[in-house]
Amino acid sequence: MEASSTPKSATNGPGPLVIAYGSLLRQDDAMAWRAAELLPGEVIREHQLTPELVTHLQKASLVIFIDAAVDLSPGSIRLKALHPAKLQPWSHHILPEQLLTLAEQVNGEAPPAFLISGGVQDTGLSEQMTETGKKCAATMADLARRLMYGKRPFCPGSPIDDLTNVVINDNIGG
Amino acid sequence: MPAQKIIIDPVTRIEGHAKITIQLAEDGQVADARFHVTQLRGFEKLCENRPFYEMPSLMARICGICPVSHLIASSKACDAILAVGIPPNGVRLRRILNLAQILQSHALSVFHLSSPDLLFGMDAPPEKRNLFGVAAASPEVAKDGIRLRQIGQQIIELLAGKRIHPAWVVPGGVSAPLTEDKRDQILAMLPDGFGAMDRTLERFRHIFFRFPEEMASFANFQSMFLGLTDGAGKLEFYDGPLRIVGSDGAVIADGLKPESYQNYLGEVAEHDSYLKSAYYRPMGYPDGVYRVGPLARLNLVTNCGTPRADHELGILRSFAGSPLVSSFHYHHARLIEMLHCLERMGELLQAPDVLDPHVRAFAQPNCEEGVGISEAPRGMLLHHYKVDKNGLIKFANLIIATGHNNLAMNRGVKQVATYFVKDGHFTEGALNRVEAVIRAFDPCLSCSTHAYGQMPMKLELQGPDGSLLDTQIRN
Repeated sequence: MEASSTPKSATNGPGPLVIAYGSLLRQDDAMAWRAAELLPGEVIREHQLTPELVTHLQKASLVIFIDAAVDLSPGSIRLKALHPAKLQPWSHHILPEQLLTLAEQVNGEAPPAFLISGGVQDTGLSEQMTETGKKCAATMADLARRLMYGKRPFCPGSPIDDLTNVVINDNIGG
Repeated sequence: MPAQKIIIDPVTRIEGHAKITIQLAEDGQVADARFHVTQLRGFEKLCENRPFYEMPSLMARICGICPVSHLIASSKACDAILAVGIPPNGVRLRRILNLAQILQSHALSVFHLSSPDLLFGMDAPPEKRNLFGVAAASPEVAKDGIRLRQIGQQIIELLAGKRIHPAWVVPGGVSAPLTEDKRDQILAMLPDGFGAMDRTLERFRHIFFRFPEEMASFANFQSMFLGLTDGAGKLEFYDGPLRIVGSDGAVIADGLKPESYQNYLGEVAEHDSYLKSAYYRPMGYPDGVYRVGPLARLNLVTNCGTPRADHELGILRSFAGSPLVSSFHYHHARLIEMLHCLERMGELLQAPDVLDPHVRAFAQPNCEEGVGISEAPRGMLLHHYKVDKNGLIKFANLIIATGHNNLAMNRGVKQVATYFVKDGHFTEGALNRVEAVIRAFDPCLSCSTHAYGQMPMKLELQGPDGSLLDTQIRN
């Protein structure tokens, strides 16, 4: 993938879209919103994914989902390539893969997509993130920026297109 | 055969948590069926001793689908405590917000929750009866539904700052006027909405005719209907006296004042649900059953008051009669109201003084009690507060649309179960129909279970042969 100097904006044609989601009242669950504040271009911040987001996917050349995760060690980051998937219908929440499936059905196609997950330190009832969460958010933003600009992420020798389920520790430089 | 109990838990594709029990007698016929709401919220208690001006934002957190309805009813109760008149443009802006709320909530109910049943049939496999299935089979239907909900939500965001739990509606009016740019953005969305509604009505008019058994059995019984009126026979969602009509269309009571609601509305805590039941006092419990919401609102009026909605109402009445009695027609009523909301928002946004900056009145508490009523998507919503001399809440009572409909929902569940469950045999489709009658009412269970305290409970011990061995009641 060629690097570009800036991500394409929606006004110049399809461009990358960032969708950051989580709760601002549960400490490190706000990680995605914090990362989103550091990113240029079209960035959507939500409490949770909803079917209405499918209209934004129609205009995107690339979608980057950002979310906190409880199944990662605190401060670590996972980058996962996503594809539309036939999963059980949602009840009270929707997964990014399900949103891609909906985009495929409604829009005719789903854009390439990645999920950047950050491991939480704590998700207690508070508007204050932990220091680990804040650092993780900054690293997640850096990774998202690399994806948006077409650069390789932290893992040396791993082209973006081949990455699936790679866990990247925040102490690996790039 | 021994007596059996069929339990549907959870009830799917509704807002909130509930279960249904169907009791079969020894001959396999339905003896009883009940709708139980299984979630506890406690809002009426947790708001005690809070300053009254916090109530709109606090009460909005009851729900994530219809927070605007609570904002408006709560603010109106606070307006009464302030004893102020709201500037006309503040009222106008509150109306527009309420209409946007109704549009997006109805879109959710029709497209996300009920369209799978309507498009595929009640007997379709469960794995198909969801929005994925709709999107796969009819992408245009899904696209229109998503767009209509998005339009309502975007209008709320443009007016009030955010889509869920906005803080814009306040005691005395709204916190900021509408800008010209936002007005124009909202107006620009409406043609999209009308296009989606035209396509939707064209599709669904024919679809509704495929359900004669459901029309006959979905809470199709005589009841009263309650809601706000404008005093001139047209739809009213924001303010006005209450009217109650019978299933023959005759007016039973008119011009009822919201602040006197305790004279004509009563509430009963049910033994097996966190959802209280409301009833019309003069007729007592449970004979005083009435319905609220889109079906009821259309039964209270001569017409909607906007041309496209009136045309569609005429179509509905031409085949279903007037007043509308079967709760299956809630779906069509919802679509008519969505169309009316788009039309009415267009009218209000083109008023010459919609940009007037005077949108809020200020005062200190001048009254120790206030009642606020509005029409939420699901029906009449009432907030009643009492405050001390410092303006701290001492008492709060909420009657939610779903609570008004509880007696009717329970009767509907039993009617559908009796119709479709026979001789002890039931199919997946039969059980889906029992759920679907609840969906027709579009209950909001998170809103409706707000009382605090131990769940009244009736415990029955049954033997292996189904005989009742013991009963314990905790109230």
